[in-house]
Amino acid sequence: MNLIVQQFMNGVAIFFIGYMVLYTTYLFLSVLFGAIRLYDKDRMMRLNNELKHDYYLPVSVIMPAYNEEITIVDSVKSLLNLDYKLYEIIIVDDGSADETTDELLRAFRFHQTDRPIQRKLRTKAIDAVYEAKINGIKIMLIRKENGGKGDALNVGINASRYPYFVTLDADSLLQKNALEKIIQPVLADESVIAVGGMVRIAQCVKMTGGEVLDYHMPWQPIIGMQVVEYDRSFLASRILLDQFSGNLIISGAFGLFRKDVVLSTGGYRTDTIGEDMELVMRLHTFMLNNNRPYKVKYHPEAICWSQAPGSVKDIMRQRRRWYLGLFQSLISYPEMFTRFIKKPVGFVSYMYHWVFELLAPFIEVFGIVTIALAYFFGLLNVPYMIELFLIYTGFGIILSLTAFFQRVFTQGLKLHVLDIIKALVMVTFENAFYRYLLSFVRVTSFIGYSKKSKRWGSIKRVKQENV
Amino acid sequence: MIVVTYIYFFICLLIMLFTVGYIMYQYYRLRTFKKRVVLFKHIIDKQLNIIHEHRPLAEKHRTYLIDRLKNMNHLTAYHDALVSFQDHEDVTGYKQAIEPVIKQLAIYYEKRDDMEKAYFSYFVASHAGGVWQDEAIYRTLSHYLDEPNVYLRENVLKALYQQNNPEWITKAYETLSRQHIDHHQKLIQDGLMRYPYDKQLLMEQLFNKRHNFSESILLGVIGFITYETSDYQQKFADWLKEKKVPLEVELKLYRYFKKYPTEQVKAHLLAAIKAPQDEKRIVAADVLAEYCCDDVIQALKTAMSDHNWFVRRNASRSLLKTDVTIDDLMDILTGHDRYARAMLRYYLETEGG
Repeated sequence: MNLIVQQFMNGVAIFFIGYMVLYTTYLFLSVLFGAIRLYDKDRMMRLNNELKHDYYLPVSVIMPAYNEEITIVDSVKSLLNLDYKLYEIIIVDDGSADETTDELLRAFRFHQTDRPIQRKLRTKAIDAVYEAKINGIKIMLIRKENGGKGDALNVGINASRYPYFVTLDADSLLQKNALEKIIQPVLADESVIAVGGMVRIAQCVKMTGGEVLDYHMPWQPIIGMQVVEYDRSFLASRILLDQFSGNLIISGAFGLFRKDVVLSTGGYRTDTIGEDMELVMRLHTFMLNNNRPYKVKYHPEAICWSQAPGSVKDIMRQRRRWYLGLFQSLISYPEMFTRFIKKPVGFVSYMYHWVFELLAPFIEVFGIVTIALAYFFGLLNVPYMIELFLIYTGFGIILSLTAFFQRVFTQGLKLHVLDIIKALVMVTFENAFYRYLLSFVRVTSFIGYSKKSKRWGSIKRVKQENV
Repeated sequence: MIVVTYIYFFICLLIMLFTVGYIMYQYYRLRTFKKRVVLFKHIIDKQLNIIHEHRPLAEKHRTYLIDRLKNMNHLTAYHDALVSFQDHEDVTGYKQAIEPVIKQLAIYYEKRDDMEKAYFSYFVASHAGGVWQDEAIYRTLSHYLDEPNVYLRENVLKALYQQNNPEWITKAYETLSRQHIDHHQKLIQDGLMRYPYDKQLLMEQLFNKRHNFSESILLGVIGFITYETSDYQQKFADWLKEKKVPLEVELKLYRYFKKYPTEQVKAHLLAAIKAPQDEKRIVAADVLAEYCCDDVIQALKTAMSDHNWFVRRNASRSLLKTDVTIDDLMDILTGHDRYARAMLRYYLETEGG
């Protein structure tokens, strides 16, 4: 019996060694590429290697909203202050139960119209269309039957006039130059079909007129830990995948898409939880299937500030949605593994998301079970295990700190000594506790899972300071 | 496993220290940069006084510049210093006097990487206007366009727009087209619009060489001409009659005829609104707003029932801009096509008839 267990444990050890070597290598490469890009980008900016123009391409900003009465007016106001000359704003109220539409009607001079909207994408019925023009910017407010975020985005696409559209969450605040930055990859290369912007946590900043007045690391642990977590995933990891156009996720909070390609693929799916990731995966497979040259870019200089969940309950709910969205998106496109395995997007990105994102929590649980089993059979090398845990946690802390400093530099933020201390505390907590909480949430995500669920994710919103 | 993690740990620690060090170095660099700008301002000011007294620029100054400006940190500081004198009465004389320096630097930077070449081109673009016209500078800059990245080609083009020989611009476009490099039409158009010299001559040169240009460059050139002049009605009408005009180019030419309508192309547009390609019908329905009379109104009325939503939308907007009669509008508003009715009603409300 002991021999069988020992052989089993040897197999498990080999598996885990391979798994962790691969994962740490990935993390290491992501920070390394982050550093290289940081240096490169800084040099480019200093040497005016930038496409700076007075006028860029016209863009439709689509903001789907559901029960966003607290933040919606501020978000729209922030959109009226952008350093961009030609854009329209389309707000789609997906049948909110609160006063989202009324708040907007009170805040801006909308008038109801019978504007005909092309129905290239099938959507739920539109109840009313309102239009306004503020500072020369056309704003359209569409109130429709509830159909989920994907459906609301599809209505926005149908109503949009311009060849590129930007999606934005209703609680998001764009930095003044965000549109200018996110369109630049398209000007540089017309084969770019989608661009992801960098999403930051809004609770850290005070903004006025689209400019960051002040930045502080928050003391609230749940928010602080998300700040450092975002740094690692939004900056380091995405920069690495961007080297080969391999990002599978463009956050719904801030992304730019070429409309004709999105229409060709059928728009957003309405029967999935992670509609943003699902769309990007579909764009990849569509372009690869049709042998069309394309690029999906990530542009960390295009910054959007979005509210993060402020309570454990909200974060658990949000992460459950994200995890289920990841699951639905990955299982929907097995051809990434079969037909496109030789492409970097298939071999690296798709595999990474399967092994280190989707399966990771189960592998971690399996690891804990085998540790218990090994202990039971007296096969556990406790000092080795503790050393491994400590060095691995230390490695995670260093990675997160590096990503944190890289981001601070990228955004030109002024840090106080206290912020650095807070960052140190948060990365330690994040690596020692928070990630295990998230693993637990992911493992239990499938409890009560309904494939057809298309409810909006909801977190408690707070009013943003000094917008 | 532990060894690998230790190795990564220490390398990451180094990367983190590099990042922190780099952030601190920024502050140091900014301070040094400001000092350099002040120094260059002082030096330039001295030379401007010499120019003001109608004395020749010191050869020592030229040698100094050639030596110093080979370094990017100095070139960026020098640029800032020079910009601060842009309204000085003698700055043109000073710039003329340092033209040989620029010629030498152009040759030097040809061997540097794309980023430095792009900055040097930006530097020339910022200061050349009306002063540096030596062909040797632009010949050298044109050599930079061998498989250039987007920033390099954009900055080289910006520099070329600042000299008064359109031939260098057409040559640059031909070079890019030969290499099958697509430079965004918007960048081409905006760049051409900044050309400060004889735009008619530039347009003529570009038009004559149009068959050597790639599609994105052609679209930019047409956009530029559309913005500038109505003088190309005849030439563009003839171009439309050519056999192999790419679809996008044809549509761009249609748009020219929206801004500068001419009866010469009316028949072509009336045919286009019935063309099998959606894109042609969409644009033709929009352009016909600027044309008159019954045949146009009838064509637009028919287009109101097109299966394509955009054709219907453009046709209804255009129809309201023509001399359409109440009877014609009533035909649609009381007709069987509910899409046409809804569309027309909306534009009647918003844009009036």
